[in-house]
Amino acid sequence: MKKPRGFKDPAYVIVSYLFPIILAIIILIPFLNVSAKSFSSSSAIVSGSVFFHPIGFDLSNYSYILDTGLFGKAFANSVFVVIVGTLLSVMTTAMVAYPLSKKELKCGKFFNYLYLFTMVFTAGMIPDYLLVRKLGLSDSLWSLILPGMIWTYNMLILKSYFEALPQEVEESVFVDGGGYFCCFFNFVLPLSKASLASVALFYGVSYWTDYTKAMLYITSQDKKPLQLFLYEIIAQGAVSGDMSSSFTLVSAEGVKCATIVLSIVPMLLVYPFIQRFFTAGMLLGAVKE
Amino acid sequence: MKYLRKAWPLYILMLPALLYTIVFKLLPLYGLGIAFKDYSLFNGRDAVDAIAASEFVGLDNFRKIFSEPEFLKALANTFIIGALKLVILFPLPILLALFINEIKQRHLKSCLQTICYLPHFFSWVVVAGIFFNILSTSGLVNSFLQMLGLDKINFLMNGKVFRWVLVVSDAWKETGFSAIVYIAAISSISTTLYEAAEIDGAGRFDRMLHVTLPQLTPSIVIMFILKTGKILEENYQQILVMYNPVVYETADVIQTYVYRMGIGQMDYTLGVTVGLFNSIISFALVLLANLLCKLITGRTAI
Repeated sequence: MKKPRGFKDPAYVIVSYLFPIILAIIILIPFLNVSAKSFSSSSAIVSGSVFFHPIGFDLSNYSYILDTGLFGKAFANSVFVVIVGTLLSVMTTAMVAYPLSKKELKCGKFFNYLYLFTMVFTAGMIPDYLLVRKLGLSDSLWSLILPGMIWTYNMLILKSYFEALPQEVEESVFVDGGGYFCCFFNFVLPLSKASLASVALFYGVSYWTDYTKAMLYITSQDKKPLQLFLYEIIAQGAVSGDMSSSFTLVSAEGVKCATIVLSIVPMLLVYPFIQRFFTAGMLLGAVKE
Repeated sequence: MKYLRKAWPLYILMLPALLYTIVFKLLPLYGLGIAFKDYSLFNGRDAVDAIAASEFVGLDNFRKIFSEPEFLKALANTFIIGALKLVILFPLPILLALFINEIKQRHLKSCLQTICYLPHFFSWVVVAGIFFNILSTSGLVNSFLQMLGLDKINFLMNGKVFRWVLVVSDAWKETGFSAIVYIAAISSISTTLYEAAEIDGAGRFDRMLHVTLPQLTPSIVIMFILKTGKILEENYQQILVMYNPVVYETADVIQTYVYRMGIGQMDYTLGVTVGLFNSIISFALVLLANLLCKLITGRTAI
């Protein structure tokens, strides 16, 4: 095997390394800047001298945010929504995906089209808003979970996974006198742990990052999830750039940075554990029928 | 009967999802009635009750929104921002996947992947906070511009520049994670193809051009079509947190307009009418995209 000569390959290899490395740097720089500011004194932040390491190391931004108690409350609300929401979503999605993966199911086609239709045609923001109010769910954490509980897309992922499971196991269950419940809970669910985890990841991330539902439905301070809490802190100074009266002792920017860092940390902590499910999940999504 | 005796558990399992779909997906469709009515909150006991009590006016509301300059602007912005993002952001993950595939040092490769995927897991609120910070007049980017002796740019208040802020922050957040699907597709390409190409004297660049890229084409086509179908929905979470009244002119999109009119000003009629218009166009786009996908690749995308 002889190596071809020319400038094409070396140039290509250099670009191959440079592009991802530059992207990674571009991703890290703003992040470093924000963390540095969050640990800096307000005078250093206001003078614009903080770049990649804290100047005048100071934890008052953090103590300001944490002392109000609102952050803790908002964080607890988000954790509740993520855990309860993800459990409910994964369970109900798996429960509907399993019957639909069965060829012998009568009316299966009808249900399939029903779920596909609700995926591509939605009533829109205002009708959803009116419904949540009519159901008496507004200003409750359930309004952040129930209206988006099942995604047809995730259902399709699980369905195609269930379809590919070996049928012999189920047949032997039937021979032993077991029914579909037995098949589903004792065999199908345990066999599908990896794809259930991927779907749980999709749901969990969306429950964690969504702020629009909270903007629509949540009004009282003690029901606000973390992202809405953060939204209000960030949007407060986004347009006018000034500080509200309560921000006089610490700089508004420092407080914003501290809040951003605080709301990123939980994600960074779980990130190493969820990372191995990314590829599996994306592949499941890509290999439909 | 014999069928039901065995299959009834299947229907029980489907029950929660069916209930969910009826309550949260089908019931709201009733609210669409507002789009065809001379709706007023005071026509009934509550907002929902008033729908039936209001007078039917046919397509009047739709005619009205098309004489609303703010709506037409939002409509145009939706397509402009959507197209801008499609053209600029679509190729980035493909390039990233191709390049990262060439990195042979495993640790460097997985380290880069870890960093590049990360921002996907931040909410748009966090990303907006980070970008507001580095783009503010005293922020990192402007300090850098000053160092180079250039003028400061008010990124968040300048309508033209702000569109680019939307594009760049989207690239920052999603490029890495969108590459996963291509990285996975590349890793499933058979090594015999590469070996054959190598025997024929193809270098790394040629192998990328003549083996990897053609093998990726089906995934690329499907992803492109899916993205096009979603052009109307994708920007809402981002723009709602990032924009401000100064840049409404260039950054207001249909969904943010619906939010401001429908929720902010409680103009339900306008909100529902524009929302329904959006849903119909969206629906048509998805169906069209799916049809195209079937014609080109022989399989459906949804």
